[in-house]
Amino acid sequence: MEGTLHINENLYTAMHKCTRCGQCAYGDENAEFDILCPMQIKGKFFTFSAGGLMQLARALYEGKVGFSESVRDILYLCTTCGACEVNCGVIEGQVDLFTLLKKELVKSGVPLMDAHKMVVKNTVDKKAPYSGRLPDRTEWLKREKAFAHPQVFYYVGCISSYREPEIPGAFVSILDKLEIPFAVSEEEWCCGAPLFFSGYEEKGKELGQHNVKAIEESGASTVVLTCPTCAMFFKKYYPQWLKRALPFEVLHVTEFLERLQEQGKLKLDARSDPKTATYHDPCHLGRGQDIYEAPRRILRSIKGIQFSELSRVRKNSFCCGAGGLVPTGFPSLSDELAHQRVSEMEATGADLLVSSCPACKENLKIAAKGIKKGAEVLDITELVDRALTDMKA
Amino acid sequence: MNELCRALGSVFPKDRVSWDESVLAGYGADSSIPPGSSVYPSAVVLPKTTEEISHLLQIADRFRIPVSPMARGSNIAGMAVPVQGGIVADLRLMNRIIEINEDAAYAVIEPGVTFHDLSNALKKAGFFCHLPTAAGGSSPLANYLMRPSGNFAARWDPDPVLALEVVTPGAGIIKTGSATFETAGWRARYHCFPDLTGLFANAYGTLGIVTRGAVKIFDRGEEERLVLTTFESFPPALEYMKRIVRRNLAESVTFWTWGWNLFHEMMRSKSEKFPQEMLKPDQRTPPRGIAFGIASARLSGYKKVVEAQQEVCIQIARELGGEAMEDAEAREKHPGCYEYLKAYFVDGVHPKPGEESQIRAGLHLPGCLITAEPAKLMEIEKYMWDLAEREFKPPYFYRALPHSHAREFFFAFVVYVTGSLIEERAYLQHLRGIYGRLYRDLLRYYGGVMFRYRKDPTFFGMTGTYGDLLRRIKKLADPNNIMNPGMLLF
Repeated sequence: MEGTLHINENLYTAMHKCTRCGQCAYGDENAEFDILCPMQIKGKFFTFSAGGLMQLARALYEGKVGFSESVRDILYLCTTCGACEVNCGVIEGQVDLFTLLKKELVKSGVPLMDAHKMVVKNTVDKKAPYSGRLPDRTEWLKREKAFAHPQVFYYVGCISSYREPEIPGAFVSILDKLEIPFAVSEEEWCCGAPLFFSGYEEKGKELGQHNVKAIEESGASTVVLTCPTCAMFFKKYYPQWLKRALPFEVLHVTEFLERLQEQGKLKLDARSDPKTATYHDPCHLGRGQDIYEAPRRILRSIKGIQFSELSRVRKNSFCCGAGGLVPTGFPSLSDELAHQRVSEMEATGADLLVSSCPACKENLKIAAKGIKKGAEVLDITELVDRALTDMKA
Repeated sequence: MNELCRALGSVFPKDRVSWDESVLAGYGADSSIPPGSSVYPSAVVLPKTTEEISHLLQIADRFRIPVSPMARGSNIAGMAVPVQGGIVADLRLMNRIIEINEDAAYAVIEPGVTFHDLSNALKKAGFFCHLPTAAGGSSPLANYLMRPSGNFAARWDPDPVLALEVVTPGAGIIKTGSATFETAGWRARYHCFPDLTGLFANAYGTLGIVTRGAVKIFDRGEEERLVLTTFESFPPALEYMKRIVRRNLAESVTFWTWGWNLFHEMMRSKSEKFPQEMLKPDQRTPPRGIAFGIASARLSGYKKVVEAQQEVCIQIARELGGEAMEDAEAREKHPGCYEYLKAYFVDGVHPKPGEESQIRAGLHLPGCLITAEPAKLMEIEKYMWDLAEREFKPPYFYRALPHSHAREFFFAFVVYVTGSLIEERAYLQHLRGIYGRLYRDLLRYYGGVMFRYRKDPTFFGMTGTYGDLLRRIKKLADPNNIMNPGMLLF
């Protein structure tokens, strides 16, 4: 039994336990058992699910099939949303297993899709996954970049820096209004997620090491991130990559804002234009970091906001399609998922869709333009900035 | 192969047929298939209609290629893998609930409908479906066609299937029960002619592919309640179950030994490590302070009647030396066990963590599933403990519940293997060998019959003229033996 997949026997034992019950692809009774797995929405065959990938991994390990472009094309349909991890009653760590398969795919010499080759090349060369001539990473800031003694280090992330600059703009505005000294760095590099999710973990580690060093040099004791994927990498993977605990605290912006509220430092005034808002749980914030309540508590505390839940929320949240390199590899699937998610707004009566992830915001915003005229899509940071009482006033 | 490929392509669009080995890899094994023993199909198709299945079987028959149906594929005993390759008909897209007939209390469903789908739809209509211990993502129709145990097993007959629609290679599309007649609906299993629905129960896809079926559904009562009683050995617990069922006091009653109860505490705490008590060499004796086993009886109906039934159940238990266990005590002493039983028997939803999560804790072999007359079952229980002490490493435990109106009982003895596949390879092989011999010994000495067929053709060889007639029927339904030959039934 000599396959092309080289893993330890505990992992093989774990994948052997899959009963093919299919539960990994579905939400629970709170989501009326809807399909949550993006792969299953696209592929229909059982193989296009976490359980199916377990069987595929088993076949690879046992040498019954080899790594191929076809294996690659199944693996890259996974948005890494993690719905399988919370819904499977038997096995844990599915997303890490799929990432391991991607690493083995690279080792076996199967080429990446052209779109993903470009992502890897750009991330390695330009320290951001985007092509073309990129502006300066902190161009959105348009002012002095750092305080002498920053209280927090704001790690902005690639999407916010280059494609959703309103989000860092709003966060810095909040920090200014609350008079919190902060630092951002031109030396910030991509967090490494695109490399990790395309099987190049070793190259991702170099980025992680660089980022940690830059933050250590700033002297800040707290790092705040508006991107939940970056935050997940800082919390979960960086300590593994560096083989040590990080010397600073890592908070997603929703954790940070909630803490300020608890300390009485953040008070949110009535909005001038009352709205009904609903909230989309980003996969890497909710299932990835178990942060479900902080954003809801913040939203509910904004006077003038009527809060109404989507049908699939928290652990049953439906992926917007922006994760796991799916938008670059399978843009039509990414669009389909975002459209499905925006369509759920109808039942809530909401005209404002809030998320707390720049990638989700970007994907949902495009979908909303197409199907939900007049709907606004905002990051929670932008909404808080709008509602914030100017403490000086 | 090209011709077969073209033929399938004429029935199924590109996104519903695959020859890709990466896609086929999802269909070769479940947790029961030993390492390296998976066999993969040559193709997999995703039919949406009865007509597509009819075309598929005509093509397969012409090319003499095996077809294995797979409803949702959930299994821990290799019942939904194509052991001889061929084509897998993955029925997950045939997932319509065609009718919920509240008046006659049945639902007509396709094989791709899951327990979750059905329970959810029935809840809105004020009904339950029969819930076995299979996963919520598995297929009710496929499960019911294998005579499940479950939460309505005692009072309402364990087989919830009424009429069927089946496609066979030899006889085309057949409807059974009242559905035989266009105008008669799906309400009855048989009328003035022999029961053909039963022919397809436990046929495991060897006679044809079931494309829809009517299944019994059950009213939600004014009151749903669980009566828990504890016993210090099997004989009084068995006597308790017999009396409960014969006197028509409960929808179902099950006896769970202490290992099972501790197991659910472990699952609730999300631990993967068996508690030390479950690993102790003497498994016949429970740890101090824990009852040998708990019997759970499910009551449903008008509140006044349920209250009276509860009183009688407790009275019977006491007469037999058992004790009532109040809900509050169960919740405090065995919270995991209580939550599981309440979800399953009272709320009528698949509990989380469900039975499938048991596998998380160890390599789970299909239990020794036996039915026998009650008196013989007591001997089987002794035999199994003796065998276990000689041959099995703890943990192991059993549960028992009535089947076919208490004239025979279902007995499940579950053994866990806690190490890795590689470390425990020899032990696993040893266990598989024991299981093979075990069923033959239990039949010979105790009249114990395997509850589900375990792909052992010698059993079918022992069926005499019954088997002869079935072989003739098989020849008519499937003249070229293309239907699931890997099941080794014919």
